[in-house]
Amino acid sequence: MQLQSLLLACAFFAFSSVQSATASECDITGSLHKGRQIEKGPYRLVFQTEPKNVAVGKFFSLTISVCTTDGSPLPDGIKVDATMPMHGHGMYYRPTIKHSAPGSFQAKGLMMDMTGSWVLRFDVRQGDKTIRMQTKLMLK
Amino acid sequence: MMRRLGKALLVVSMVIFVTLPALSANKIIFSESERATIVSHGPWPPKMTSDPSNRVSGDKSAITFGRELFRSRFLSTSRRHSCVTCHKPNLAYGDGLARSTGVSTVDRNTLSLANLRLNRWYGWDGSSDNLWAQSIRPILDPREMNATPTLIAKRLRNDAPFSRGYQATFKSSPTSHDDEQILVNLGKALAAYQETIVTPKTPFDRFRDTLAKTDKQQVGQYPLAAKRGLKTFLGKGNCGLCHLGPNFTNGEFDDARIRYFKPSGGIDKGRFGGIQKLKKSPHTLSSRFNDDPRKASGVATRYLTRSHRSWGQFRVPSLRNVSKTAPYMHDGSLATLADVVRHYSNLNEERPHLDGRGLLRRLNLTDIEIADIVAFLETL
Repeated sequence: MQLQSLLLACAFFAFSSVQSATASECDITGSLHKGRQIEKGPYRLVFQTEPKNVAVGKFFSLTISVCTTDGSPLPDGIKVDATMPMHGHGMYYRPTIKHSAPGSFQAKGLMMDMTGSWVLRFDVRQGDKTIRMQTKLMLK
Repeated sequence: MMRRLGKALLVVSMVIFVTLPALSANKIIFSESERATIVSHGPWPPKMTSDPSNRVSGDKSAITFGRELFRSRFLSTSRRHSCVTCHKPNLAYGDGLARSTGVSTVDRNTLSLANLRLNRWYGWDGSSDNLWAQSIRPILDPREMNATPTLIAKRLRNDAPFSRGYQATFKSSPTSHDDEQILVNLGKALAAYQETIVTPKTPFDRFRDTLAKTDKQQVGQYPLAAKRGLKTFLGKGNCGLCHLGPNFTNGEFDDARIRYFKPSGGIDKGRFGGIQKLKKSPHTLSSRFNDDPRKASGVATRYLTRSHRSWGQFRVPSLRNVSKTAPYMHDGSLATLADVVRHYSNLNEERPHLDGRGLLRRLNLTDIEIADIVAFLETL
């Protein structure tokens, strides 16, 4: 009976942990609650820039949080890039990515050198599958 | 009497009737968005902070010593060339030539020296990420001053006045430093001096400042042609895509569709080659010679990537003082400002190596629009 209770407790704990690694991290009421949110496939991605206002010709970094809305595994990697589709080019700089915690990433070394419409791209990878998520940024 | 008065009133009203529409046609109205962009081109001069990678940046002794070095022929092997050979103060620190000549003629136009503290990259190809390294480059270039670190260090140790200047600036005798350290320190003194070359407030700045303070658009003495040119610069010309901010540049690189081929033969790789040189340089902000222990100023070099796109790209130059720095473009192939504007107006959009769409489009400007843009540029 005691063993059954223990197993039940363990199972409950394991279930809770899985929940906290997936659904609870999809709750964006945390530190990134003011960040911009993108959803695609199983992923919900929230990011914030540092500094808050991105300026032309100034380096900035991103704090990124990714979670899955259907309980599928969290991504194990992410690539970040920015392009200017109207002019057919991207950045001159390649940001570095730090995988700081499950579902959490830091991208440093981004810089947009022109005013106008940019697309910020996130290639979210899990195993051998990559899903591209993107959002527009207008630089004035 | 009444008839005379009536006639006079008729003449006055006719004058008003004829003149008013002409006056309103001469008014240039800037939209809110254009006004915001104009204001973003100032204030001038911006606050210039000292360079953290150069411990003698802003130091009076270094500026004095740097000025003496800049004017002296001490740094060239033949003692026939100085920095002033190509950077003449009376020519806005350029030389007025299409391509610079030291020991021999090089493939590129001399860049004017002004407002250098605002640069992220130096040289047409950005092969230096700091001003002291860029100051060393021509000393060692066989086509320019053709010197070596050993030669320069030996000369300095044996030259009493320059040794004293070195000692006053770096608080050490040149005999206590190795050849490479001496060369870098001389570069830092030269940089300290060049940082003091700042262009003054211009008619454009006064117009911009007035616009920033008031809603009245027609205030000040800013010429009408310059206003029209500014309007075209911001609108049809879309020049602000690259020429932005107080220094009228984004500080990066692009392909202005000038010929690839160097007059001496071969192809000028532009930024592609510049990144290659930068990555091999011992004098970058990532090197031991950067005096900033945190190396925070080296962020651009750390994240810089070389791509096919960089082929044939050259630094977007500042437009400040531009009317005084002819001839133009990296190879000095365009003699006048009107030639430059006409070049963009009639641009050849075909470019063999371009991946996808290029940035620049033919502007198809009229002769009046070209003249107006030149009038605007002359106020910078």
